[in-house]
Amino acid sequence: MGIPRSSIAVAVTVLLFATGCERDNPQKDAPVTSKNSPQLVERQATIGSPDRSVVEEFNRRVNQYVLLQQQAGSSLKKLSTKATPEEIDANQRALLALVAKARADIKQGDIFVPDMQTFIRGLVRRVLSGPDGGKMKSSLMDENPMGVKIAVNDRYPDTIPLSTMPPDILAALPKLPDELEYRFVGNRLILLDTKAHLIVDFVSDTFDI
Amino acid sequence: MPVRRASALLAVVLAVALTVAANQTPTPDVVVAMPNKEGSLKFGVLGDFGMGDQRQYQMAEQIVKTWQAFKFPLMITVGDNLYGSERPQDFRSKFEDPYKALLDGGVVVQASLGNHDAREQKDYKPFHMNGQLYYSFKAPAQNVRFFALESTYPVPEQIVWFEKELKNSNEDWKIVFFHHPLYSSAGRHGSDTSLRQKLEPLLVQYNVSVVFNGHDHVYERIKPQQGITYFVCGSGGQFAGGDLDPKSPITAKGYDKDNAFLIAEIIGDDLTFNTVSKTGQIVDSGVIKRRGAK
Repeated sequence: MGIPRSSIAVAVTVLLFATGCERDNPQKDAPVTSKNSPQLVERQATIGSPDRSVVEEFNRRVNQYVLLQQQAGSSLKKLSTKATPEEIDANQRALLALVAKARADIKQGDIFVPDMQTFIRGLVRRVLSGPDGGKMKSSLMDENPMGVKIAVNDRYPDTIPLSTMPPDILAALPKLPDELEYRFVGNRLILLDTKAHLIVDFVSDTFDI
Repeated sequence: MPVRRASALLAVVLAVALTVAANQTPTPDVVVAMPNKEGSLKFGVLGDFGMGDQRQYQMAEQIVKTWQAFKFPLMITVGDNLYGSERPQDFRSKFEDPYKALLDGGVVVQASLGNHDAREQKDYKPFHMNGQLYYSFKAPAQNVRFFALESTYPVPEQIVWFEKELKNSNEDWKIVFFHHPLYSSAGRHGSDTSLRQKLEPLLVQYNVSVVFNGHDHVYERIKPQQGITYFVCGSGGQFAGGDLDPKSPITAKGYDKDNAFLIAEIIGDDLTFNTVSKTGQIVDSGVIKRRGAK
């Protein structure tokens, strides 16, 4: 016995409207479409792993970024193993400027595309709702302040400690090249260029506070 | 004479006050350095220190005094090496200046990173990480291997690497250090149980004897867990007074009344340690037998 499609559409619309009303300002810093609305996303993503094509597409975009970073940084003098803090700092800031310039037209969501955002939100919520989820969440939120403004191509805030990444989340996320790391800033999962100290992209509202 | 009486009274009050003050001010212990023998492996353990403030500098002074009596050639750090900004001048004011005497004296610092540390520290030469976030090295004396882990970002590859390194290590002593404590009785952070699930089976299986951590800004020695002794050495500059749970069943010895750091010496199957406070008090000491020793 099938449920009429029109009933599903109505139910989803009602659900979206109802849950949307719970938030004063949903995802202030992230463009949200009905496709990647966290409320809907949560339901979809708990179904299972992402399609292979979603991960492949993500990896393709990540590799593209790394290539861009390497090309942008090719004009910089390679740091020696005896580099001083001054040289390391100068190199990092110069690399950030070059990378940011080279991808000036990039928008949030260009690497974490909507399907990937869906997967990530579902994954994080699933892990954090497990038996050790409470402890994991407190560990993750330890010294991890909410309300910090971030933007793509910005320098990672100097005064914000790096969040501790739960091993289960890291194990489930696609492996990254050495240049990049996943981190949380508040409940946003960011892609961090560790060489340039640059926020490459981020996903908002990956879990409820 | 009223003046004489007043003077006598003043003298008595002064004498009493001095006696009370003498009793209240901790008399620094002379750091009698354990066996302090030729050929032993001597090292220091420091965590959560890079504040650049008076507290860190006072603790650093004590570390230098201790080192003058007990010349350890190696100091491992359990992370949070620099707090706040990490501009070039911060490396000086939060690390190079306070520990100048040690660095000038040839002490080799082998760092691990904490959640306050930028990744670039792996390239900072005085930390001897050689661009690696996690690494192992053979100690300059005795049959000891140290393993430094990066616990804020425990990617599966790191766990695989760690197991391989442990498996390939032929050294008698395996000592592991990283930032987040698998066991801690402090209220601020406490035990990291998700990390414990990943690491503890390896520590047990491959005969690790001692683990040094930080993160909580106290000193704590944990009762051996499955044969392994864990230390929290997170008050090398930071300090969280009264943060330890006094009723914790896992504490062998805790100290949350002042900053502290640890010195250790390995000879054969014995690791002797002293934990020294900012004022030079020895707040904990003991001998740990190597796991698997006959």
